[in-house]
Amino acid sequence: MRGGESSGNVGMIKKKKPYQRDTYIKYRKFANEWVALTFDESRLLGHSSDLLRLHSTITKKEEYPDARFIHIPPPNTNFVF
Amino acid sequence: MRYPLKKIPYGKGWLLSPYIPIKITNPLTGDSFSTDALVDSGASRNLCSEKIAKILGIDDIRDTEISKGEAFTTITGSKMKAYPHRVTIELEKNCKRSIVVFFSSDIPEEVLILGMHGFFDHFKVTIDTRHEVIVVTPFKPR
Repeated sequence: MRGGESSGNVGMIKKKKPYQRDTYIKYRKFANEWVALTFDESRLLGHSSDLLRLHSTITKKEEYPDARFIHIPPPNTNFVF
Repeated sequence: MRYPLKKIPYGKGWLLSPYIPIKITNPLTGDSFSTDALVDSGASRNLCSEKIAKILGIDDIRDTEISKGEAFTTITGSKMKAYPHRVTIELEKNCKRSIVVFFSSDIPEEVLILGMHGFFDHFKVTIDTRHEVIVVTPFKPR
């Protein structure tokens, strides 16, 4: 896997898919937390280190039934599972 | 289905990782969770945390009729146990598969891994680092 400087999303994919390449970089200030995003990942709905509480809060509102929940990893971490 | 490889912050740049967006649903409760899953050909099974199980309405991961649980060995050599449950994953509209996911309380809560048995036997996966994409194509049901 190669790295590089941060840039925008790939144009072709951005047009076709809501899934964003830079989400983890965009929300890096929430490292070790969960973020709740709109389905197209364009809006931050909330963030918390407590997934159950965040999920409960967002789903109770019923405004965002397709909200996505993503864990932002700590920076500079290599990992294998 | 073609997804960009996700950029994971590293130093002043990033590392590319094969995460894909999925919606995972417990067919018994109807509860679902939309998140990113890591596609990992080094994993023998699909693996998920107990915390995500709770969101899916699985109150006790040990309560399963599929098996009594199976032992897993991690890369550090440690052992853990995980319990299989049948769930539905949806990658995009009209692309759903019923698969078995092993849930464990011994892994970090953010872990949702799609492995060889239970994912790669349902989908052809191509990771193209040159074009920074992962392409996932469902096999036709046998």
